Amino acid sequence: MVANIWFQIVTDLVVLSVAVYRLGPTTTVIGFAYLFHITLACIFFGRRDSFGVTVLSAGLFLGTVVLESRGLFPASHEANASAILAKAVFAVPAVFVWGIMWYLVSSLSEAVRRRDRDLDAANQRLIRADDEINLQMLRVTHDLKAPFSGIESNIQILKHMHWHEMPESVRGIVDKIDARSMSLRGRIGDILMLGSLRSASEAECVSEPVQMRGLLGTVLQDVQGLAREGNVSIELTGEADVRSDPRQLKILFLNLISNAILYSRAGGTVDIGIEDETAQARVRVVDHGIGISDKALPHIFEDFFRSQEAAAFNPKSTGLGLAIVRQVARNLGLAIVVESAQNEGTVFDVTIPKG
Amino acid sequence: MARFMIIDDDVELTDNTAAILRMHGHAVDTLNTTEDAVRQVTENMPDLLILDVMFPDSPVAGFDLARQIRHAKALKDMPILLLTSVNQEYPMDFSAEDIDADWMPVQDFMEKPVHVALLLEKVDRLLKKR
Repeated sequence: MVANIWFQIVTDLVVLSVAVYRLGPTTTVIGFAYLFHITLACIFFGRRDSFGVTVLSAGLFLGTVVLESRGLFPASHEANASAILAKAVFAVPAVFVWGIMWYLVSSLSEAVRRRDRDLDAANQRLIRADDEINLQMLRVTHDLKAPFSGIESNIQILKHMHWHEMPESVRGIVDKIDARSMSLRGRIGDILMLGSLRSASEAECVSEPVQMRGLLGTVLQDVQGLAREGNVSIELTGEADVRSDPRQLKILFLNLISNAILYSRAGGTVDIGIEDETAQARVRVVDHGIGISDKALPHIFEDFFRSQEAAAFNPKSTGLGLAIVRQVARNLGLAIVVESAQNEGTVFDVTIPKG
Repeated sequence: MARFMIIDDDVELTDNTAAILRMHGHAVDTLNTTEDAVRQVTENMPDLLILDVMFPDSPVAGFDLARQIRHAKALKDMPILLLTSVNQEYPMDFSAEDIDADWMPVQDFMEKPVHVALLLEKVDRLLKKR
């Protein structure tokens, strides 16, 4: 392969030299055509090889000058048997200029190549660091959640194997430990989820076709236990297809719909409507529950924020659900508008672009 | 009565799960590392293997072991129940829908903490299928 390239280069330069000789190496400026070859060599080869092309070009050009001055071969131009010194006055500075051109262009090319290598190495380091961060997050998630598995499995042993041996007061304590463990595990899970979403790079956000009705259907399956416990009915209407990241969309709507259920009163309803518009889809999650006060409304997406009414109605809330919703909206470029009236309910209007 | 093997680095969880299964009349062997696991599983030939995903030496050691077991002639039909505490975390996010003969060659999947009723239901179902 390398031999082929050099064969082509030498052939090109020899053919050029014949043309230069026939047109007149010192009576025309055709000799500067060698500069094209020198420049290309500087761009595509390393310094040593491009210097080789420059020396070869200079040698062939000077060769044509010598042949012209000696009148050794017939040429198309008027033969001029001037002294070599006169020819040299033209030829030598020309070769000197080529030398400078080689130095400048090869230095520039080398600097660009070095920069490319540095950028590539930096990119590789970033990729490795990103992989390392993901691995670290996975380990942190595991190491924080694993102890709760241990606590809860011990509680399972107590409940399954020793329940009848325990007095009522002790059973009450065991139930409280169980509830606290689950609550803390949920909180840690939310914190880790928010961390993962915040560190998700743009490249990690996939864009694929999503059928919103199907996606919301799977969310409703996940919350049906919660809805049953709270005696809240849910209605889903409409459909639309979008292009987005289905995993993050599911996280967003799981949080919005869970909130709508948790802050509804027993016997209440949650209405989820999908509207298909030209360039976007809109999903409205409407509950008729406790609502949000005007004072609290500007703060609902802040980390760990819970209004007094919300904390009183649902003491188990972590205050991170809407912070997670906000992060997903930022990651995916979604718009969310909230309307609420205390004791009447809340509407979350989510706009999802289709393209 | 069936024979189980539980492979999980969480000693407490392993012992508690084993205690529950023994209480229901089953024999249980336990391992807390995937090292030499294929040989031990081959020696014991349990009716069902309960396997964790993450181990200290590798976050995917459970997957790797499941694949090794599938490739071992004597063990290729061994039912495997996978346990994990990280599957629901974005962006890992895998579930029973991702069970695949190559990537996640297991029969079923369970999230920690292990709830007794759900565990017993799943092992009964997997043993009946065998």
